[in-house]
Amino acid sequence: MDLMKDLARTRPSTPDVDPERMERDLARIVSLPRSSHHREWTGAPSFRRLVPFVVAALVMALAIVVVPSDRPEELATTPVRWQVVTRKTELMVVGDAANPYVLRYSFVTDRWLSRDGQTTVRQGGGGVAPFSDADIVKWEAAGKPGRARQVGGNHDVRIGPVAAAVTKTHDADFAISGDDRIRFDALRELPTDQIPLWNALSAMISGFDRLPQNEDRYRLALLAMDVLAMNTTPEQQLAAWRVLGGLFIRNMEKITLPNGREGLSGVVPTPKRFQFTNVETQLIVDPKTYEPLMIKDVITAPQHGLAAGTAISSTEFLSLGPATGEPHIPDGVVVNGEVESPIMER
Amino acid sequence: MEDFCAVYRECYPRVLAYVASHAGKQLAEDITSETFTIAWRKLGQMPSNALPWLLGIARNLVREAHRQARHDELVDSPADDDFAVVELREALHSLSAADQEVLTLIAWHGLTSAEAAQVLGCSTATFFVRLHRARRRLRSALSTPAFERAR
Repeated sequence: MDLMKDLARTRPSTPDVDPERMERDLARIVSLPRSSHHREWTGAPSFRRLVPFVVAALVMALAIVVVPSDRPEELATTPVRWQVVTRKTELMVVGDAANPYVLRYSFVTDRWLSRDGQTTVRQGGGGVAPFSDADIVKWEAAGKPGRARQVGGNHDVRIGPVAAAVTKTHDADFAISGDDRIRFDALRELPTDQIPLWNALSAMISGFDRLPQNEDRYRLALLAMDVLAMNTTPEQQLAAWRVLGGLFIRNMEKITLPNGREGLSGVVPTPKRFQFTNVETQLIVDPKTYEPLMIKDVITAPQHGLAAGTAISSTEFLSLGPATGEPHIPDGVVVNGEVESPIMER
Repeated sequence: MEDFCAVYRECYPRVLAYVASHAGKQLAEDITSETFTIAWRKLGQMPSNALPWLLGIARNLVREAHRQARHDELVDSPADDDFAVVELREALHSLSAADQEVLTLIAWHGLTSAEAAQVLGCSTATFFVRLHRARRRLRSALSTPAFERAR
């Protein structure tokens, strides 16, 4: 009897490798500081030969078909200005806590970036209104108030239009919305490979290694989306796309937005949110161009009369690209004048 | 770093299998993750054949897990097997932990004697002696009725 061969049959069943968990752990591990007394491991040459396959496997794990970016060639050079137009929405629960209704705050922001500073234009036409027909009924039943109390908060929400506003700063280090920002003209210095980029972005988030796991993942994901939204190179965008892939907690799904644009949607956990529980963040990217299409915080369980799957906040990227000329300032709006907020002290 | 990533992806399934077989599936991913976290911090010490070194780290973590948890939290119930396998498994479990470890490093995890010796931190010659004795004790256990082994 071949004892050792028979013994092999007693081996417990081997667990399946979860590729997502594996890649997520790897990305987390290599973002950790190493011992200060390390030397670079040279390893077996056979492993080095595997690197291209490793990259390919990673891409497959992300279920992404990697194609050259279809973005215009002009992105490859540093433009004088970069313009990002987004529509932001946010739902707010107001009124009687026992019978609340939901308001929707919506506005379009036009961001102009250059090495000399940035101009942010909150366009007119935005405002706060009841979210659904049922919310209109409740608001009307409450006497159509001009302001309503936040449920669970210390502020009121003003209902109605919100005026346009323009803020202009001369800080040149603004382009990415991390804690530690990066200069507009230094964006091209960001790494072009996934793991170095992961490390660079992690380093921009203060206290990254001490954040709760969900929060570090969420903030890193938003930074990666910023890289996709900026005037970065196709290589940097691909690296950012792969960073995102390492953060997603579920396989990506193909999504068609109401405007007809198609993208892949990945999910990251969302840190604790005011007024809502069971929230996850969907990040939707055009896989052909790596352009960010939308960031949505979605509830996964019904609450406040909202169905599961409702986006409680969203940022839709309406356009982004190099810009010529000066930022357009709406008529009658004073640059760096009052910025009206619908959230008011009670 | 690229080398570490390549090692990670190549060795991950075998480290996971090793941990699962000794600490159960529930803890396997967490301990495997911790194994590679330690490996990353000690990257300068990683040998070119990294698997035995990684299993040595995992082995220490599994021992630590055993110290902190009840046994039934660590070991998954085996699936139903044929009688011969059940007998062999029972015979294996009747051996000392040291004998079980020597045998399973070879039979379950496919290591060479030199690699298994590295995991256990002994010389290859010493490992051969231990393996020989463990095999002899396993054969003896197999020829002993189960109710006798249980005494």
